[in-house]
Amino acid sequence: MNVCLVSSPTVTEFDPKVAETDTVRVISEHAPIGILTLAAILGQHGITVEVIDLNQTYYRYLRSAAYRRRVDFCSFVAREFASRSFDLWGFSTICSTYPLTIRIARELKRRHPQSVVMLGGPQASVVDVDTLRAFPFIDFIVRGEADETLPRLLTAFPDMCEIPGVTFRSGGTIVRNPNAPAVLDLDKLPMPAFDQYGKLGTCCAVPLELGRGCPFACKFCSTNDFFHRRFRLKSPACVIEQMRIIHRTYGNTRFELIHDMFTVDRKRVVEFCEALLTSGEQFQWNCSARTDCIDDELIALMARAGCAGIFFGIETGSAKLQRLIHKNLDLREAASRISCAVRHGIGTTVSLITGFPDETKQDLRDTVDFLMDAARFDGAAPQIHLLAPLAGTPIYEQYRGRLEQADILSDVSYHGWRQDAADQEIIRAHPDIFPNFYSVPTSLDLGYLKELREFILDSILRCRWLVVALHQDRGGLLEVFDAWLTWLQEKRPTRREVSDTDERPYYARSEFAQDFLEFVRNRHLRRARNRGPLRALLNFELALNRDPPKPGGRTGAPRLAAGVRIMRLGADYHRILDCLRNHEPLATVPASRVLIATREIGNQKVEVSQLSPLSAQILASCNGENGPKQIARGLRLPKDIAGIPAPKVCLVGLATLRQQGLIE
Amino acid sequence: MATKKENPGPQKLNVRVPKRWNLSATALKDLQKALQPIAKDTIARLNGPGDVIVCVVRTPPTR
Repeated sequence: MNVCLVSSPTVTEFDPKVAETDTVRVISEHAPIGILTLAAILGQHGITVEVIDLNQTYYRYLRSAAYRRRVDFCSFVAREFASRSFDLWGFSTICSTYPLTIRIARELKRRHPQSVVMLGGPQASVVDVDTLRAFPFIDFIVRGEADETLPRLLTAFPDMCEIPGVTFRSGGTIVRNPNAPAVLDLDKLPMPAFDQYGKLGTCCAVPLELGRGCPFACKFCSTNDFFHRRFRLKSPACVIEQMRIIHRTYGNTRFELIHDMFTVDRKRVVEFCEALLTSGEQFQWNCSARTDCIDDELIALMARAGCAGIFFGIETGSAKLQRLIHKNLDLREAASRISCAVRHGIGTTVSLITGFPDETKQDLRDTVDFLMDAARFDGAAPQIHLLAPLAGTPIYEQYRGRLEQADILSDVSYHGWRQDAADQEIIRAHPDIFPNFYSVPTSLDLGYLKELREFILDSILRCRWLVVALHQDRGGLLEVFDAWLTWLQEKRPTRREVSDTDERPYYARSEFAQDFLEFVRNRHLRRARNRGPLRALLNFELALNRDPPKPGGRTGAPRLAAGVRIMRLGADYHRILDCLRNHEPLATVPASRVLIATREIGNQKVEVSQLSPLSAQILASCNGENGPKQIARGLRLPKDIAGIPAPKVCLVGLATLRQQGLIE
Repeated sequence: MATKKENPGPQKLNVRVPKRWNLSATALKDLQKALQPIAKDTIARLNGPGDVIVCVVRTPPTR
């Protein structure tokens, strides 16, 4: 049997400009280990498998003449694979791209009517019967973990009656066989067929499965059910051996260790970390954890063993909602764990959700407060998302008859700026199959929540410390946001989400950054409790929003290096940041005149130097016109070095600034 | 693997001067001290005034 396994795409919803950003690139390079593992298993059974990664196909599409001719992606895929013939097309599915996967499957079946079309993965597994009922071109669905089901099924095919975990048609009816058991010994699974992937050597972090099954029962989550809530881990020896093989074969040293809840069994996490330390390998890895299944001692051990990133799903900053969604985290403990991880140099993603059915404005305020307190850690990346009622989850079951067609889509479901009309059509026709594109009733306005999300995320990425300072000064960022909305309404009553010349939404345009700084200057600053520090932060941001000086002037005369900006501030910038990081009152920052030099150092990082008065004098004179002699002539030397001739002071000063990369 | 601290502060800079300048060790030390940055920090920030595309994706990818 000739089999083609097709990944569920994760980047197809992104506009081409967004698709080229580093964030989306990293997502696109996430190898589809589910189908790569299946490919390896089927290979062991003598079944030929080809793997298609639709993320890579999407990037080919964006560079193609077809894209320029406005051919849609679905037709592009169908045309690209029109000449390929397989006995079976198997599609992996996730909620965000399920409509697209269905459409691609339809096109391929139309072109290859003799081929069998199979779906699997998290989304098809929970909407199997409805999917087969609605889409006759889908032949059958493999539910849950397919590692043992699929080879058995393909051996017995077309007889599926005895194969657990399969939903199929028989005569005019849909037959749903009992669930397949969870795969208990994950060490028996082969290494994913990375040779079928092709991009492993260049990807940021190689995904490797560490285990399966989260024993918790959060009401919004769909994965706990997919893996039967049965916690399993691969042995440290198995995982480390796979890491070594990948390192030897492709050169990668960074890994994304996949498990919904790695740290639930402390003893086994310790075993894994100690085995890594004993191995002497210098691998770096990321994982997911709950803040109540990890402690400071364990975090320290994980850091020593190469843990570089932890995803913490906090979900809500409201203690009440923690109980209602069955997450049940102690929020003080959560904040303490995040702080501990950051202290150990582990980057943390702090993920929150808003739009829960019982969420009040106070709950939202608590969530925003938690997020903003996480933003005080340099090593933390706070996120906030809109709830999506994922199929099969308790929240979905509770509200399934009351879901509302959403004009405002959850970003968990869909990140794109526009949705394909063909997707919209099948979503509208089948709410039970695509409920994640709908919304649950909530007392909070979804439009307000979406705008809040964009406001928070975009402003943090653009001017994090100013936003943290506003949050602290006003006693909550939600109050700042409400004032911002009022100001925006007065200032730009005709503001458009998409402008005539730019398809980017407002918050993704520089227009937002300019408006926001104007709002802080003209509205917020007047009422601010800590005007001096806020004005210093505002001036810092305004200076960074201006173009850096263009290189020019006389050949050989010292000038600012490319990307360097200098600015004078009325308060000690570093003292302000220390206060914000440590949650200390900004009133303790005295007024003082300081000269700041900033330098872009790549990877969205800016180096900020607060210069000594002497260096500040020298740097301020480096305009590309003055030579060292002229600069020296204007220097006022401090008493400590009054005995050293100014030209020598100037030469050493210039060398020092050059060493810092501030001048050339 | 050693743990690292965020924003460790300014690194000591060390600029050499020609011997013929005849600067005493104390004078050189004072000079270097007078030129050292008072503080140094690294902040995460999208750079520049241009349009930057912001994209925050819930990770791990949505199922």
